[in-house]
Amino acid sequence: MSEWGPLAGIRVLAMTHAWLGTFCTELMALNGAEVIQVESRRRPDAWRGGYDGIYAGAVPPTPGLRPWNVRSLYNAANLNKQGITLDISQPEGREIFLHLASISDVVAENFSPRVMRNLGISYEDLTQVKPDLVMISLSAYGGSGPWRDRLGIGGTLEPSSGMSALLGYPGGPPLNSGQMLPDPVGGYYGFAAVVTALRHRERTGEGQHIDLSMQEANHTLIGDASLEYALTGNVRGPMGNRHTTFAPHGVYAARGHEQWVALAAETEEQWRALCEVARRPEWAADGRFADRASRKANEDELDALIGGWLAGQDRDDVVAALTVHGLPVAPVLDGDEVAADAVFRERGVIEPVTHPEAGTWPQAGIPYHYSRTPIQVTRPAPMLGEHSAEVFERYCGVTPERYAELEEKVITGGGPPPEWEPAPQVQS
Amino acid sequence: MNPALDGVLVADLSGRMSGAWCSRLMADFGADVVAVEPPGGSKIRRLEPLDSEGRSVPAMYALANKRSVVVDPADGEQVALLQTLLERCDIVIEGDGDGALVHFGVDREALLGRAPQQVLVSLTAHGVTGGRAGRAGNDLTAWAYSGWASINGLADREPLKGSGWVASYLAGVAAYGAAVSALVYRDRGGEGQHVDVSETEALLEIFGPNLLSAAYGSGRTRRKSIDISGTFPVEVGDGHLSLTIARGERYRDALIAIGLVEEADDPKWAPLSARETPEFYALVQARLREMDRATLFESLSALRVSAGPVLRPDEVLENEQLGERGFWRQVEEWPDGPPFAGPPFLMEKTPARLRRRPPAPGEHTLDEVASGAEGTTS
Repeated sequence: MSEWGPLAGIRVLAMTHAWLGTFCTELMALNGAEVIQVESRRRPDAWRGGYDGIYAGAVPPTPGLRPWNVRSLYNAANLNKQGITLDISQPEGREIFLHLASISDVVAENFSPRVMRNLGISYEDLTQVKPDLVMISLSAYGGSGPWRDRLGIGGTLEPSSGMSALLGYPGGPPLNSGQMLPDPVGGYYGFAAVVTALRHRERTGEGQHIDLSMQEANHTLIGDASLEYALTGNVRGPMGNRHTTFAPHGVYAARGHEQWVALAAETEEQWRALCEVARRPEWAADGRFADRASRKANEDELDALIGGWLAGQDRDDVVAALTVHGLPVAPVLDGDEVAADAVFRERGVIEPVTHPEAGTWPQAGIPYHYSRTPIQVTRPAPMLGEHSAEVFERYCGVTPERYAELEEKVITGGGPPPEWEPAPQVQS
Repeated sequence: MNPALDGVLVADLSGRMSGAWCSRLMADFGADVVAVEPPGGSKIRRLEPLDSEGRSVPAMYALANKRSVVVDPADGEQVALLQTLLERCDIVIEGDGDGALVHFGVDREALLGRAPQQVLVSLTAHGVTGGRAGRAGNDLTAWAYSGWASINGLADREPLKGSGWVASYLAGVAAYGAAVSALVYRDRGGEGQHVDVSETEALLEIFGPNLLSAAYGSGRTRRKSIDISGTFPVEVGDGHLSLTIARGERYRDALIAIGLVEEADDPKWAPLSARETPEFYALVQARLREMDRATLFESLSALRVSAGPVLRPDEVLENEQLGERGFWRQVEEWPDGPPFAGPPFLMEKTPARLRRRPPAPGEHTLDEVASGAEGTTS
């Protein structure tokens, strides 16, 4: 049990995989809860990439390196957790699972509703062993309704939540975000839902089941667009980097390859400062840009002028100069620059994490800064089945001999099951 | 059936969409939330679009279910009443600039000293410590600093922020989770505390997989071109749809579902790399243009191929799934008002309630909220 973080003393049994549920339970782990992540040897987490290993060049060749333990996606989304393997479709595995559920405060799962029904571990089943359990089911479309059994991943939920129709360049086609944004949106909401239920349980002793829909989670982040349609009849489309109210508001190319400046002017003071820093007094005197409404009405011309000025400027010099004058301005950082950013490191949100097989790399760790219960990264993502023996012994009294039996039956253990064969290598 | 946050009093001074969404969620789960606004109203009330009565639509969305008081920081009597209100609160949310406690003449540490059971949330652009503390920031800068803009958008165009206030709302959800976690800690015998949440870092946290991939995984992600790989929606007969046709063991089924039966068995398309080519894209795209979203979504779903139709705001409101789940809610005090979205999870014992319509600035008096009167929206 951790002794730090606001959720110290809370135990979570996580049947989560990929990113939606794993991020939800990672937030619990980062907030001090003890999270036991359950995987199956026959079907490890998809974000481990399977057993075949498609990660040539991912990390330097290391004797004994097991590809499924070093996938960057998995290792980024499972900090602070313990990892066990358990085949709950077998009676002995199910028995262990039910025991672990009986000593947990929260069970989280993000299988499709169909899978949970087939496994026979519904909320009703689990409250037989833990009456005040909080359980969250995270799925693409929720546990009810005509689409409840339809598959969804981030790339297909972004469209069906209504987000894609609003993301893109003005007049252009709908787009998706760069990497499955809908998953962690659902994860953040799932964490919010669980702590809400824990608060209720603390006061009443009553647990409950939470049914979270990724489609709904993502729509709330653009809910003002559906409200806009209901109130005005206007169907909003993609606006690029533009704002409904202010101009300028955009991302402009600076000197050099992939050097971009994001800047906005939301007040008259900021607009005048921009003209001053750009040394363009004629912009400030131009009637087309005299006030907020006229700048917005003449945004194309304004963007062209700012773009022309910035094309010859150094990105970081411009950001520094405009920052001094109080403008909302930022360089567009790429992954390498984010990892190296001094402010993120100073605040501890980027910090090196050492993984026994993958090595030491900068990772995004703590999203919150608590004054009394500070949170910390104490563990890298678990290797497949890394904590099975330890957890089973501590909580279920499983002896090493018994563990060996379970391993032989592929109910637990690490790595591919005996019948596994590498996939044929396809020449491409 | 008691709401989960029953008895929790919240003051939101932030004047930011992030703070407003954080406190909106608190109100939905039963907290009594008071929006504290400067004279003339919070700046989020100036965000367009406006409805026919000149009210900001985004502000209506974020301010529903709350009460509103206006406090003039230059008026000593009002500031004293505000102090009284804040000391009674379980949760106080502050922002940057004119949404900061100090703008209203309130010292953060002193407030925590007088109200040790309080959870005090600073929800700002960059956090309250570090080299960017206090700097201006908004959704645009959060997408830029967090790394997300570098991978959003098309390869031959400028990086994109997410639409509207996605980063702000997301930071609001993140801060809600932190604040209620701190409340759980307090209720289990601990004390209150200060929670510092940065909008940029809330987005950065979920850039984590990209960050690690850039460091040692499959390499840094770049903006891409529209293709069939599942990253982007593609054009179909009546709009756009995303599908994962290029990937995985299901591609054959997917090809059959869209009528490319012979191609499904052609060994040429067996390697994944062959299915990530312009030739494959053109082949599939031509067929997809002859089909509609509903048919494709249904037939692909039946084959366990993940797909998703692009829905516009008007179509989302008519969506059968959201409708049957009861996702759209009328404000109880505004039965002929528009439908509001969310929240996105169903809690069987503590369901959300959307009770109050969005208040006008200063619709409630500081006297009444500081004295503890529940009050109702007229």
